[in-house]
Parts: sequence; structure tokens; C-alpha cells
Amino acid sequence: MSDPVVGALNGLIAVELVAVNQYFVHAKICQHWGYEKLAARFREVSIEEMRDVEAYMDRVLLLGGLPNLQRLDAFQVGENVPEALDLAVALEESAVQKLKDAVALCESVDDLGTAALLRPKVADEEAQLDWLRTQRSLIDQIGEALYLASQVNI
Amino acid sequence: MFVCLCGAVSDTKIRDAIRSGAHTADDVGEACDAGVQCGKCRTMIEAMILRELEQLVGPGGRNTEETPR
Repeated sequence: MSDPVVGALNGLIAVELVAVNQYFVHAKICQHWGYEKLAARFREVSIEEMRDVEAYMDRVLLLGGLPNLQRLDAFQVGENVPEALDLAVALEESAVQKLKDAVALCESVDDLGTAALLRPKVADEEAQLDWLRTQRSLIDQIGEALYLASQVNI
Repeated sequence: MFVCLCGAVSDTKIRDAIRSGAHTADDVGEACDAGVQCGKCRTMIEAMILRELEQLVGPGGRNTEETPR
């Protein structure tokens, strides 16, 4: 019988792999467009998500499972900065929900070690979600052109 | 936004194809090359077809532009 905690961790790995790729492609596109500050942030987040993948893989191995890095779900790529931010918001909302579900599952089967690993990640992803929503709100408040100007390194 | 990353096909192009008569994922693929390579975006293309057709005829086949009696 497959371990539900290993299944949940592999589910989180799949979400994180989408995040790694989606953030990285948006980082490079923003850099290409000249929005260096946003590009640097997206790149940094992409690498943080990869570190999360590593932590989940280590935990899967500790539990005697096999980390599944083969699953990469479909994702979309923004044609402009507001779209890239909206896609990131949707991604983080889904990640936060999946993390909370995984924490609840771990606690229900008394796997407090995995729950302890995942709990701080909920706060991390929520902070990232908050930052993204702030950027989206800034665009609404000051206008897209002014926001984009603030992301250029000149 | 780009929905099909293999063919770099945007949601706008897919929607145009649907509005021009492509009402299955295969039709959309033929019309604009979306979803014909890895196929991961086909679920989203199918959802877009449903949404567009519902907007065109209304849920359950009722035309939303029809004047209510």
C-alpha cells in the first residue's frame, strides 16, 4: 500500500516543479523586456522553490519512498507583467492550499516530523502570495506604466 | 497569455480559432497549432472551448442573446 504522506509530498513536489519553471521562465522574459528588478525577484523565488523540492525529496527518501520528479503539470506564460503576476498569484494560492491539506494529512496520521517540515512553508508561500498581491495592487493604484518604470534598472 | 508553450500559442489565438468554428481540441490544433505536440494544454483548451460555446449559446444550449419572453 502506498504511503499517503509520500503521496502528498510527491504532490507538493509536482506543484513546486511547476513553480520553479513558471517563475524561471517569467524571470528570463522580464529580464528580456528590461524589468530587471522583477526578473531578479522571480529568479530568486524560482531557486527558493527548487530548495523546497530538495527538502521534500529528502523527506520522501527518509520515509522510504521514491521522489517523483517526472510529473510536470501544464502551466501558462504571461504575455505581459500583469498577466505574469496574475498567474503567479493563482499558482501560490494553489500551493498554499495543497500545503495546508498536506499538513492536515500528516497530523491525521501522526507524522509530526513531516508536518513540522511543512508548517513553515505555509507561512513562506503566504508571504510570497502577499508580495504578489501587493504588486498587483500597486499596478491598480499607480498605473501599469509607472509600475513598470519602477522595475527598470536605469 | 501563452496557453500552448510548445507552439507559443496565446489564449487570444485559441479563442479566435474557437470563434471561427473550431469546436474540439483537434479542430483548435488544426486551426492554430495549439495542443498538438506534448498535449499538456489540451485540458485547458477543452475548458476554453466549453466556456466560449457557453457564452455563444448559453448554458444548456439556450441562446443568451435571445430576448426573454
